[in-house]
Amino acid sequence: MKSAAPAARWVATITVIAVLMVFSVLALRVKLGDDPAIGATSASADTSATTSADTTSSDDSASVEDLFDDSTSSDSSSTSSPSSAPTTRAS
Amino acid sequence: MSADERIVEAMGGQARLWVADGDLSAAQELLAEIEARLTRFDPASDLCRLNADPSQAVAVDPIVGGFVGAAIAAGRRSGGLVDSTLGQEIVAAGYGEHWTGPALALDAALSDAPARAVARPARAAGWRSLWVSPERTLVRRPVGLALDSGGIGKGLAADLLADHLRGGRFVLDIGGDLAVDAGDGPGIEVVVEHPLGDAPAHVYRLRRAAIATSGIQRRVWRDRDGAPAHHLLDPATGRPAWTGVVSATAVARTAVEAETLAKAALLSGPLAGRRVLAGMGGVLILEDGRVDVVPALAVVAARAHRAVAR
Repeated sequence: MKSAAPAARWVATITVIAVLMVFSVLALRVKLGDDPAIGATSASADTSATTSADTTSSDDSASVEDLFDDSTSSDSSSTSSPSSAPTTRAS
Repeated sequence: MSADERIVEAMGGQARLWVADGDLSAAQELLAEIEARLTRFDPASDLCRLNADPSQAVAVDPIVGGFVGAAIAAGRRSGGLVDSTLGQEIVAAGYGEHWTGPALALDAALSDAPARAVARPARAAGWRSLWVSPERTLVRRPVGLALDSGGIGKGLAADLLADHLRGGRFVLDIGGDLAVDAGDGPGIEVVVEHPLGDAPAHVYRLRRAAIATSGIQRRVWRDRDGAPAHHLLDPATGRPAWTGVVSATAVARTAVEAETLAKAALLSGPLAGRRVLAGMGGVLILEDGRVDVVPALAVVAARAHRAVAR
């Protein structure tokens, strides 16, 4: 039993080092953008970063909450709209 | 003043500009200027002169500097999948001149295309070597690097015009990249076209947003070796990417962001593409015609957070 304690400490130490190394490598890959899946996930989650700040395009104050209109109101008789529905398509 | 709508040829396709209460003349002039500066099909354009300049540092118009800034942001945002420095590769793939019409049916191209594989970022990514000054008037890049304005240029045009018209109710459709502002009125419905069917793939009701679609169906051809080709390249190989996705649509706050996410989703393939679109929502259309509508989790989370905070 006396020799078990140092062995357990070694195992614990090696485990901690291995976990730290794995997370370090993952963090480095995300930073470098090596893995598109990791990079894409990171980018998707980062909704505070907007291209507008880097592109001189639209202001970045627009909240994601303003993207969609989920209201149930369908009364648009007093508001003008395009003659036909706008369409997004590959061009 | 009443609604104004104009349909013009611009940015390699058709642009449809609509504003509820205003004059589109200035916006149309701005669009013409953006196209003249960013086209890669006119040797006299600012972009072509930048690509041909023998100096590393080049003074540019802010529109060109804005495009370079957008290219850097797109590369960073997509983990390197969206790379606007593949100008030489797109010419080598057979797209060196203005697109004049369909050269190959999509089903024939899909039938002859190589095995499906997700795209990967390039090890020596050109976009990482780009630099632009904060004022967007000076660009540095390796001599010989060829920038391609492509979809990012269309998105930038939509965003710049939206900035010009901000405060009103408008729809700006630059070749399928849309900036929408419903103003104080009800949301504006935007249809997502299904490239393989007649019925719409999805309909969004947008308030203040951008939406863009990246797809392979409209520009397909055979390269000099007879292999099917299109304009969406895998940065790792410089060759057209066949990922199993034929069309990806993304909703975002700006058109550059939407264009970036849409292209990154298509290049990522059916599975990883869902993760790319999961923030603000989008639609994937697969080769077999299946439609995968990806919910906007960031919007759901933001609304839940606000509800809890009340």
